[in-house]
Amino acid sequence: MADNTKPVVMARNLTKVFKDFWGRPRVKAVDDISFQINQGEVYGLLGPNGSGKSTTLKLLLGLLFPTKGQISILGKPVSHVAVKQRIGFLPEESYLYGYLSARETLEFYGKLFDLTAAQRKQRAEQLLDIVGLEKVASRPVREFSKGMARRLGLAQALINDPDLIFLDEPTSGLDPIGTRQIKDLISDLKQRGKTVLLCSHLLADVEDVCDRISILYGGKIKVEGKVSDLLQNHNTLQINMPDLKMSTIEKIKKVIMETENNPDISIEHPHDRLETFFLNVVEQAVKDKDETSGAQIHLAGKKEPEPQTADQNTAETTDTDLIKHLMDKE
Amino acid sequence: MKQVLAIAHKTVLKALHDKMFAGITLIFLIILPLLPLLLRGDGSVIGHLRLFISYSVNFSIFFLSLLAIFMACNSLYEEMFRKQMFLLATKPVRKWQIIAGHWLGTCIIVGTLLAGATVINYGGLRWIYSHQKSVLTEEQHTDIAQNFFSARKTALPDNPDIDSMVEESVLSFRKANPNDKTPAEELRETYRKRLFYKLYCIPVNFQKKWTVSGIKGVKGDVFNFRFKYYTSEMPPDGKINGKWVFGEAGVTEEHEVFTDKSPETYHTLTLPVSVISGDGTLQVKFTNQDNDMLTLIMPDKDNVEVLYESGIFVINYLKASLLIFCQIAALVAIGVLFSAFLSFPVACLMTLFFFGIGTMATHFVQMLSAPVVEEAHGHSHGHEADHEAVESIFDLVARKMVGSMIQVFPHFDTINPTRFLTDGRFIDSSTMIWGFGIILLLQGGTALILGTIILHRKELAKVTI
Ligand SMILES: Nc1ncnc2c1ncn2[C@@H]1O[C@H](COP(=O)(O)OP(=O)(O)OP(=O)(O)O)[C@@H](O)[C@H]1O
Ligand SMILES: [Mg+2]
Repeated sequence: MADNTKPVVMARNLTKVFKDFWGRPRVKAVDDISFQINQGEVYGLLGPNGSGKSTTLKLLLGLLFPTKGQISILGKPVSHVAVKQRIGFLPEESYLYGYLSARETLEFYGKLFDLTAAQRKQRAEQLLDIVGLEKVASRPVREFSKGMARRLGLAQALINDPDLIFLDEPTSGLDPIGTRQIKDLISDLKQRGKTVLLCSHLLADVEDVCDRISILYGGKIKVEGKVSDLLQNHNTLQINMPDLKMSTIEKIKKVIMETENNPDISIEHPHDRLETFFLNVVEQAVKDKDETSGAQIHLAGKKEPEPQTADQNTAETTDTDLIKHLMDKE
Repeated sequence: MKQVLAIAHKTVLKALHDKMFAGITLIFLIILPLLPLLLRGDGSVIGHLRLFISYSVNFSIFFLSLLAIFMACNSLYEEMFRKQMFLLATKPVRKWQIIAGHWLGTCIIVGTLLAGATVINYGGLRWIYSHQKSVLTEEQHTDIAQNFFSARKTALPDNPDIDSMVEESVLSFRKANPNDKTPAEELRETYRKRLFYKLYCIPVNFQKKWTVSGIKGVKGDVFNFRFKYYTSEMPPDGKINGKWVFGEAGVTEEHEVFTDKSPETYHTLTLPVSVISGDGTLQVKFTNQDNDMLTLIMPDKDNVEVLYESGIFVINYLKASLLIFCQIAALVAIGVLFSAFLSFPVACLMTLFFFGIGTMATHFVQMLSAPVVEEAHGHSHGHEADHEAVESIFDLVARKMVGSMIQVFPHFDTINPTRFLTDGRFIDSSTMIWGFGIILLLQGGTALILGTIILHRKELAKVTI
């Protein structure tokens, strides 16, 4: 679990103002934000489009220079090569070399980390397997679909087995299985004591994997906190159990009516989430050994989707809904 | 180093997958072998060889330089434009390694093409020669062997320092005539003219002597002596008779040659090495024996020259390719520098500008350097009046500034090997040092360092306008 003593990422009063050609301030993309991520934590950065998530990430990675504020990554300024040795980054789009194959791409990045030839080969094969690209590893990346490129982007971010990983919308362009795998992968990384900073719009996933989140709006942090604390809804209850006889249900209804005196109850079968349904269909196809020229799918590591635990509404909400929801709670 | 090589390797792979590059290379590799067929020359075999080598070498330089500029500017620019730099910059790679990797990769690609061009051009030379070998006379064979397929060093006579001699004369005149009011410039002019007649004019039955020293490492039994003279009017038969004596009685063998060569062109004599003394000195005497009683003029500049075999043509030819490589590598460095902060087309234009200025640098420097002063050995007179024109301070300052700015540009014309190759001349070490030391290491290196600094300060994720 999270070791709260060691801050891995620290941002203090971070501000970024984009200026135009004449040096006049144009956009305040990040506005005086401070946060800290501890070792072993999975931290989620949420917010609507253009709220400054990617900009924050680029500031942390040294791709942009802050207008104001301090940053330290793994206890040092990010420009240190020693810091870069221990981080992984998946940008908002996978900026890969179209003329290299998937394997060559990983080979290239492996060399930059000074890995030996044997290490590079072993890591590359392992990662290609994890992201399901082993069958297409020799094809040039320019032929890849968006999701395939995304998978390779993720593999490159993990080539050095980083201690700190920055993921900017890792699931964008991925199919539900890929999304699921990324979720599992993040949980895996967390289990191994890695720190992850994640930007995403898929709240259901963020909710499942993140320890803490902060929600940006217009470059400012609106809410920050533990996911479990933020999402607990004290107004509704949900009872989960296998199917019941009609007569039992009637009895329960009666008991509730008598004791609570509230007519606002309904008892029905829970809906499968679309995710579960889609997973089942594809799972069947994989079992039937149907051919695909796209990404390979692994069933081995796939977990049964958990039953829905949280409030029915939050699971499928959009960003703005959630923000409104959370703000109302404050 | 691993990082630099990885980036270089990636740069090479990029080029190999580039259809445009493949097309351009193909055109180059098709045109090059056709050059010996397309060029004809003045009809002689040596003329054909000279024309071919100057065209093929200059074509290779021009083409490969353009390609180098294009590739260099594209390489780093595209990495940034396509945002692949986001990934590269977050890996444990230093900025100099990124710059060096792009430079090295581009140099490898263009260098490989240069190696190919070197082989093809050499094949062309050999083809021209062997194709026409059967029709050559023995004399023409020797001519080609000595004047083309050779690597000859050159030695010039020790020339007197006219300027200091003039100053000396003026000083002694002043001492002897303290009351004389003649302006210094007038005195100088008078003495200069006097010295000119004394040193450079050879009336009939007069003799002129030269001492050529520093003739070291002569290969073979013979060497060449090259000369050229002028007359104030053309001889009726177009010929001047004279007697040459090479060597010094008692020290070396003496060798006499009678010539009847025309003025205003170079003539070459082939002489035995036995006339050169052990310490590499050659004494030369010339007596004017002209039938038409004409006076000869042989000024310091381009009068006589000793040419002697000192190396092998192939080695010389390879050195020429190395010089071309120095130019290409420097251009690549400049291209990488500009693409670190400019867009592709602008970076290309800027590098082309360096290429253009560099190719004519010596010419520009000569044009701009120092006000035009009457040169002592000019044999056509009559425009002294023009030099009275007053140069304004502004003009002088502007000249100086532009002149010193041009010094910053790499002087590519200084290392152009054509002038050596067409005459079978040994590429001297000062030219090689200029190519490697000044152009490649100093100027190319400075460009790479500046590129590193710029990349270091650059906000990589900022959108470029
Ligand atoms: N290089 C840039 N130059 C100028 N403005 C920029 C630049 N990059 C981002 N911005 C602006 O900064 C703001 C924040 O952008 P950012 O990319 O950080 O948003 P985001 O939260 O990642 O959005 P999304 O969810 O769409 O990825 C936006 O208004 C954007 O227009
Ligand atoms: Mg973004």
